[in-house]
Amino acid sequence: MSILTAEGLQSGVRVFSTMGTVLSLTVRGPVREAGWADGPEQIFTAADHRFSLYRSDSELSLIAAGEAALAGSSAELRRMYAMALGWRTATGGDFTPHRPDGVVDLSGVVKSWAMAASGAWLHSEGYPDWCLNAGGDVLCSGTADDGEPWHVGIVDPQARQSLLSSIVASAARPAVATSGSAERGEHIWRRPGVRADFIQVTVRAADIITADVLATAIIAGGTRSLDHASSAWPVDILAVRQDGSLLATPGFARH
Amino acid sequence: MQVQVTIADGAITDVSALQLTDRDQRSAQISNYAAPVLRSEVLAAQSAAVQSISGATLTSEGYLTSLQAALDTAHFTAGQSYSPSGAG
Repeated sequence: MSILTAEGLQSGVRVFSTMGTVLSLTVRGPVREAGWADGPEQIFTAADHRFSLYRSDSELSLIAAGEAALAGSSAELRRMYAMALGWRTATGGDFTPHRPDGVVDLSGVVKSWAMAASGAWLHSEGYPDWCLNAGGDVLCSGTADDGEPWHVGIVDPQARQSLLSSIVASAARPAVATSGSAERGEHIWRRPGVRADFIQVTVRAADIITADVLATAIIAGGTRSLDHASSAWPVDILAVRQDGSLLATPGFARH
Repeated sequence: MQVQVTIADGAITDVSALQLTDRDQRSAQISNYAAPVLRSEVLAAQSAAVQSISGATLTSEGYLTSLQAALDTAHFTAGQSYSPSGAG
């Protein structure tokens, strides 16, 4: 459902509810009069219908309820599950598509996958300059109105109307994802006995799926997971400890 | 990796690899290490205009009072970037 839509010769903005959050898309114009943002809205809606566990009629909900078999699921679902399992292996289990009760939960990859797919659609439609924000995860391309790269502010988890920092969505690393407990409380599963080192983690990466998964993994796995991610992937990381103090890789330092 | 080259009478007579020291290995591993920083040491946010906001995943309700909503509204009304007010 669109909340706001505006289009013109200069730029187009589309804001709509999806996956329990809100997606904001800004495209530097000129955009077409109608349908210019249909691709992302359709991609998110289709993914929501297939994968969301809060929709009792989604394919994944039917599997969770035992009414359908994973082995007989759609190719799309099996591909998403395989990707999530790959990330579980890559992160040593800090990211997992399995809830403690055994239910397969793909929400950790579905939103960022839909963002990446939307970005591919925008490129295929010939839009070079755009910025997509799905509830706090950001993927940008090209430049903003001032001809500069898009600048992404990072929310202060202890004062949500303030910014902690900002970083450029660069050509090499155009994806910025943040995980934390500030908006939804403690919703990321941790292994029993693992203390919560961080209340918020931001990762900038070459693609939005890597950024999103690693931010989630670091929240779940704490300092050990942070050190693994910063050494094993070409990413920039800003982490906020429980006491509000910060850890940052050089990419987040003032130049 | 460093190599040691032995030269005798103007000719190379031996080339051998020198093992990385523990310190060399450590410095390679920590080149992207996340270190403690002060808030004043991360990239300044308060004075720079930003076009999008990254934070913990918003609920649909949370969006309404978020910085991103303010930013989206600013885009609609002025087509301009939003600079957070109230700080430097």
